This record gives sequence, structure tokens and C-alpha cells, in this order.
Amino acid sequence: MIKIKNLSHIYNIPRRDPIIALKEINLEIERGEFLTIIGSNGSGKSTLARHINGLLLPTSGDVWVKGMNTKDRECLWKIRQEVGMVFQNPDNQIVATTVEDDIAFGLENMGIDRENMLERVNWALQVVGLEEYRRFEPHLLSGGQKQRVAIAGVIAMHPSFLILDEPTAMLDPRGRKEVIEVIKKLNQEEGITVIFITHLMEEVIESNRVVVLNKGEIALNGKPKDIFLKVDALRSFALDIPQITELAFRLNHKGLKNISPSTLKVEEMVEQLCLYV
Amino acid sequence: MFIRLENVNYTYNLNMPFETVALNNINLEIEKGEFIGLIGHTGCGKTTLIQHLNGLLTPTSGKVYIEGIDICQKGVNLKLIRQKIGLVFQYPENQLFEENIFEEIAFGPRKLGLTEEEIKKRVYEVLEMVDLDVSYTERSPFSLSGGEMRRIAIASILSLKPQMLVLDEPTANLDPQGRSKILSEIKNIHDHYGITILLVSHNMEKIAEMVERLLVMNKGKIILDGSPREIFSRHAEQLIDIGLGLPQVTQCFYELKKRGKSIKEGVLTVEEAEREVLKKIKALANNLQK
Amino acid sequence: MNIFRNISFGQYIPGNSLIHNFDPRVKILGCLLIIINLFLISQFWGFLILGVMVWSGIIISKIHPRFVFRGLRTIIYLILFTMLLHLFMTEGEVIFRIWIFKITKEGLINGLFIASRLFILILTTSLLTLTTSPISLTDGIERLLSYFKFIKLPAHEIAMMMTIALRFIPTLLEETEKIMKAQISRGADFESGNIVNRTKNLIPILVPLFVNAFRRADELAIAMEAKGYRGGEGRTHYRELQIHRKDILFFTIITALAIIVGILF
Ligand SMILES: Nc1ncnc2c1ncn2[C@@H]1O[C@H](COP(=O)(O)OP(=O)(O)OP(=O)(O)O)[C@@H](O)[C@H]1O
Ligand SMILES: Nc1ncnc2c1ncn2[C@@H]1O[C@H](COP(=O)(O)OP(=O)(O)OP(=O)(O)O)[C@@H](O)[C@H]1O
Ligand SMILES: [Mg+2]
Ligand SMILES: [Mg+2]
Repeated sequence: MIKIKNLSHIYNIPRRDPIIALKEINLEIERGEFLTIIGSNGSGKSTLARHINGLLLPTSGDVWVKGMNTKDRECLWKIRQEVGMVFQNPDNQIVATTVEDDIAFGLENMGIDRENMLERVNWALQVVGLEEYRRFEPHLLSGGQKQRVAIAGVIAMHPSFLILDEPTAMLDPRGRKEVIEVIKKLNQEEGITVIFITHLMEEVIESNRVVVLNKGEIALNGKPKDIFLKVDALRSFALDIPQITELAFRLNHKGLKNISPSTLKVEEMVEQLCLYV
Repeated sequence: MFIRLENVNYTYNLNMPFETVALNNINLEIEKGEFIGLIGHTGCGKTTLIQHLNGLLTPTSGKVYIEGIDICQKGVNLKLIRQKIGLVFQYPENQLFEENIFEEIAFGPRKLGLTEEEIKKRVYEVLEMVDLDVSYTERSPFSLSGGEMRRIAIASILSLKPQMLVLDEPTANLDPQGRSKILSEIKNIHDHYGITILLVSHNMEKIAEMVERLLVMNKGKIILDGSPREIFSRHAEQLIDIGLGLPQVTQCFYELKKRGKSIKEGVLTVEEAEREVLKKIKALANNLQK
Repeated sequence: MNIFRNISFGQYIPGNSLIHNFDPRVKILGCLLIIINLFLISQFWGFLILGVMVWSGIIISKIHPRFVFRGLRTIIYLILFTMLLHLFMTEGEVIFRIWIFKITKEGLINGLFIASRLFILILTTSLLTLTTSPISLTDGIERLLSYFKFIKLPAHEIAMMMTIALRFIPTLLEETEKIMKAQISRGADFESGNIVNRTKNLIPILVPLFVNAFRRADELAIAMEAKGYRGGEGRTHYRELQIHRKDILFFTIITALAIIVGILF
């Protein structure tokens, strides 16, 4: 369980106005959830994510992970192990010169013994589907593959929570799909709580809950279906809705009441349209 | 004919154990004033192809003609070619380096040896083209947001007054608003200033809406070349086969058609889809009345 | 520059030979012994024996000599140059005269010695880097350095720096190529002009390269911290280095040979 209470964060930059990146955030994340955080560039997504594993500390307010406060220095390493984090640029988070060594990096830091380490590396490789690539050098992999290596390196540490900060932003559609599949699997089969950050609305569909950030505040918080109904609000936050949802929304407004305005997938839309045409 | 590629092949690391064939017998003609989209999987050779257009890469075999000149010949003034064909790489904000934005945009014109007066005129002109105002000139390029940095980078190419602008995934990594902004500016640059555009993109939905002609690459070959409507209606299956897929609304209509509904294929935009559905319902209602 | 995309730094060629499988520590020490020896000996026979030793190593490793010579190619001119320098510049018993140059017996011997020394040196280090992956090389170095912990040598930090450098060299090379191409497209010209101009032309490459490198370093540091990195303390190792019987045997043979050669010649 993660609990965030009255969290504010201010970046102080010398000789410039301080930036209020987060304002009074209150949020609870339950075990097993698949939570998506969306918001435009600069809305505070990364800042929020970095508070959850103690990379940043609150200017005011508190963050608890499984009852441990991130301000408590004693707990910091325990928290980092509980909350794994994957970043946007796949190139800048792979440390070692081969895939397997990189996956072992976090385990080495934890001081796991070798036997156990081998087992966990094998497991992580298999979960992300990169068994054949274990001896590859990172620069020979595609973006999607690199990002899966990064995920493997984090889940090998057996975290309860996995934060992914725009892991798909720099990938092409195929790489995106690969990564999303892996995340879904981790959530459903391995029971890892996922906190997924993106600004692509198409990627929200798989989650149980969506939090929309706008200018450092939580603007919306709810199920994807409900969030997508608020088309105008989303647009005003510089976000967008998937084409198919927009079509459903428009048709519904034109009086086609059997078409749900919160249709998220193409297949759903096809089913509904079949009733009419 | 503005640009012509004839049987162009390109292999990286030719005759080495790890050689990669990146382009395989490319034939392509581009006219002045076209607005072309280029799509394809990662690694299919898009970036390699566009580097041939301004002589950054020379084909392993085959010819590249720009305005009738074979640019692979010895003694061709490649600088002139590069000024004519402006190439904007992926993440162009990573190439900014000057102290302020004025200098950043003036970099190219300076190299062309223009007078200070002309340079100034050009800088202001292209700032307007990317919809930024004059107050920006004093600022450091590193103090801008991601979307603004990218527009400055595009402006720094536009300041060469190219006849054609080639953009490699100009919207990667921007939020939806930043994306729309850049795309509408590109459209504006084409429509208002008559600059030929070649746009490499992974975003099917947007490209379907914008371009007049679409090129689809797969494994180093151009496999489809035509209007988006034609490609998305007649070759939908092929696109799905190679895993590129269709824009969401196009796919929706494609599935309806597959289920035996008589409905238009190759629908490209939400507006069009809406119109089609309403039209269809009306027609059905009329039939019922009769 | 394209080549760098596909070959790993240090020219490692994977294989499964005896030499490949020796413990990296033993290989590094063996190499050091041979190199020290090279600078101690002063007789032709010594070079011959060392040369034969290293060459048999290459044969056992099943590495195509082509790769060995590829490493030599860049350095061959240096070898020739120093050899010529010694050939002509050493005073002594004149055996040959062309125009104003005279070749002395001592010069001839000195030149040949220097050439053989450099030649065998390169062969030895090539053998090491060709048969040892960068990663086990850094591992070996880390373990060897850690024997010097008592003088506060930061073994882990040095090894981590090497690892990160190895990891990012291909990335940075690729990036340099990209930036160059982008600036050329913006009108930069790296080919013409005098020295001053050319140096000035490097600014559009170097500034973005450094800006990006710093950002990378920043992000990498955060990613490492997020994975619980806090220095070498309490860290375990994924790569296990184990000294086997064959390693001990190999090391003994090398040491013995080195001592014999060192004493005799
Ligand atoms: N290290 C920092 N120093 C100063 N200001 C910062 C720093 N990191 C972020 N900011 C500022 O804080 C605000 C929130 O930034 P944050 O990175 O959390 O946004 P984001 O939602 O992750 O955006 P993006 O989609 O671009 O990643 C922005 O205005 C940003 O400029
Ligand atoms: N500098 C290089 N050296 C060696 N091989 C390369 C180089 N650049 C590209 N390649 C290879 O050539 C092929 C085509 O690459 P290219 O970058 O043109 O693809 P792309 O379509 O632009 O892909 P993306 O969508 O990922 O940008 C790929 O297999 C790639 O691995
Ligand atoms: Mg962010
Ligand atoms: Mg590309």
C-alpha cells in the first residue's frame, strides 16, 4: 500500500522563481492495482513518481510505502527495493555491458548471493521474453528490447510496486506494444502493483484507474471509462482522447444512444456499430 | 522532376561480417510541392533513405538525382543540395548549441555568407513560420520546453530557405498538444510557403489525416506508394499483415466491412467516419419507410 | 564510424578455447609478466621464446590471425619509425653507409630489439583483449585491485567507471555521428578551412555532445540510485571468478618460463 498525504514539492532554482511542481497531492494506491498517471509535459508526473521511492523528498506532506515514511533514512533502501522504477530513456538506465549483467545490477546492490541471483535473473529474462538475448550488448538491442531489459532489471529485485515513467515515450508502436504486454503480464500474473505514467491516451485502456495531473494537481481520478467521458476537460489539460472514443462520443451526441460514449477499443465499437449499419 | 531515386541500394558495413542491407532497390520520384508521409517499422530503413536525399549517405549502388543532377558524382556542390533539401533529424533539440536563439537560427545563414541585415530578416521570418515571437531571440535555447526547442531546431533548418523539408519523426516524445502544434505548423509551412514536405512518422492517425501521398516501407523496400485513402482501403490487409496496422477509425470500418456490412472503406478521419455512419443510418431508415 | 555499432570495444571475439576460459586475473597477470620480461631481456633468444609462447597462445585460442594483425596495422608505422630511428641514430661500429646515413652494428641490434619488443607487446595485449570480454576484464581488474585495499585503493569505483565507460562508448560514438550529420544538414562544414576554422567548427559538435553526456550521466545516476546502488560496500557479484586447476597450472608455467627467460637472457 502506498499512501500520499498533502504532498507538495517546490524546486528552488538559484536566481529564478521557485517552481511549484506538486500541490497538495492526496493519493492512495492499493495492492494489485494498475494505476495510470497521465498529464501533459511539465504537469509533475515524474516529480510525483520520484517521491514514491524516495528519490525526491517532500517539501511538505508525507509519502508512506507499506507504512514506511520516505523521509525516514533508515527505511530508504528497503523502500527502493519495494518500489522499482523504470525511466523514459532506455539508453540512460542500462549500466552494465551485457543484458544479464545489467539485470543482476540491482541484485548485486542488494547483496543477494550468487545462487539466488542466477535464479532471479533467469526468471526475469523469461518474464520479459528476452532469454535468447542474455549475452547481448545493450547497444545492439531495439528500443523496446532495451526497455524490457530495464524492466527485467527492476523486477528481479522482487518489488511489490513498479513505477514506469513514460517507458514508451521514445518507442515506436511495436516497441510500445511489447512493453505494454509485459507490464500487463506483470500486473496480472505476478501480482505486481503497477504505476504507469504516460501521455498517450491509447495506453490508458489497460488500467483499473487513471489519475490525471494538471499543473501539479490531481485534476481527475477514476476509471478509464469515466475519465474519457470528460472530453473537454481532458482537452483543456492538453491531453487527447483516442480516435475511436471521439467517434463514439460524437455519435452518441448525434442520438445514437446504443453507442456508449466511453467506448475504448475498436472491437467494442465494431460490435456497437453492427447494431446500426 | 524534383527528386528521383533510381535502383538505390544501401548496405551498412559492406563486405564485413556484420553487414546490414538497409535499402533494397528503391525507386522513387518526388515532385515539387508534394506533401508526403513515410511510414514503416523500426529498422525498415526510413532514416537511411532520407539521408540519401541530401547526400549524407551515398548509395552502394543506384543513382540519386536532385533537379536532374546526379548528386553522387564527383564535384557536385553538396552544400547547395543540403541547402535545398533541409533535413531535420529525430530529436533535433539535441543539436542546439548556441548561446541564444537568434544565433542558433542564424547558424545556417551565416555559413551561407549572407549579410547581417539579411540574416536578421531570415531569423524573424522563420520564427514566424514556427509560430514563435521575436521576444524569443534573446533566450537561451536550453531554457525552453521540449516542444519549443524542437520548433527552434526546425526553424534553424528553415532559415536555409530549403525547397524541401524532410522531418524524421518530429513529434516523438511530445505531449498531445505539442504534437498537434508541430504538425499544424508543418502543414502551414507546406500550404503557405509551398515547401515540399516529407514526413517520417509512426503516428498512423495523424499521417492519414495530413498527407497527400503515403509511402510504406518494409525491410528496406518501398512496398506501397499512393494516396492514404487508396492505401488504407485497397491494401489494408497488407498493412495488417506486416504489423503496421491502420488508424483506429479506418480499422473499425475495415472490420465492419469484413463482417459483410456494406460501408465505405479507407475512411481516414473521425469526421468522415461520423458522416459515413450517419449517412448509412439515414439510408437504412429511408429503405425501411419504403 | 559505422563499424563501432557492431563491434564491441576492445575487439573481443567470443570463443570457447582454453585461453578464453582461463580466469581473467590469471590472464592479466600472465600478460604483465610477459611484458615485464620483454623489457628485462637483452638477447635475441629471449624474444624468440617469448614470441613463440605468445604465438602458441594465439593458435590455441583459435582466433584468426587476421584479427591479430588488424590490431597491429595501426601501430606498425610506429614500430617501423622507432626501429629506423634506432637504426640510424646509434653510434658504434659502422657496417654500412648510404649518403650521409650510417648504419652501425649496435644500431641494427637496437632497432631489431625495439621492434620485437613492441611487436610482441602488441601481440600479447591483443591476445588478452581478443579472448577476454570487456566485462570479465573489468571484473579481473577489480578483483586484482581489491588485493590492494589495504592502501585504500578504490577498486570497486575504478571498475565501475570502466564498466560505464565501456557501456557508453558505442552510444557516444553513435551520437557523435548523428550530431555531425545534423550539423552538416544545418550548413556546417567540417572538411574545408584552415586549422583555426576547423577547430572552431568543432563547437557545434562538442557542445551538444557534452550537454547530452551530462544529461545522460544525470539520468544514469538516478537510475542507479533507484536500483539501490550505494558504492561497493556489501555488494555481491553476479560474475563469479574461480581459480581452477588449469588456471594454477597455466600461471605456474608462465611464471616459470618468465623466470627462466628473464634469468637466462
Ligand atoms: N530538477 C528540476 N529542477 C527544476 N525544475 C524542475 C526539475 N525537474 C522538473 N522541474 C519542473 O517541475 C515541473 C514538473 O516537472 P516534471 O518533470 O515532474 O513533469 P512531467 O509531468 O514529468 O513532464 P514530462 O511529460 O515532460 O516528463 C516542470 O515545470 C519542470 O520544469
Ligand atoms: N550507422 C549504422 N551502422 C550499421 N547499421 C545501421 C546503421 N544505421 C542503421 N543501421 C541498420 O540499418 C537498418 C535500417 O535502419 P534505419 O535507421 O534506416 O531504420 P528506420 O526505419 O529509420 O528505423 P526507426 O524507425 O527505428 O528510426 C537497421 O537494420 C539498422 O540496424
Ligand atoms: Mg517526466
Ligand atoms: Mg529512424
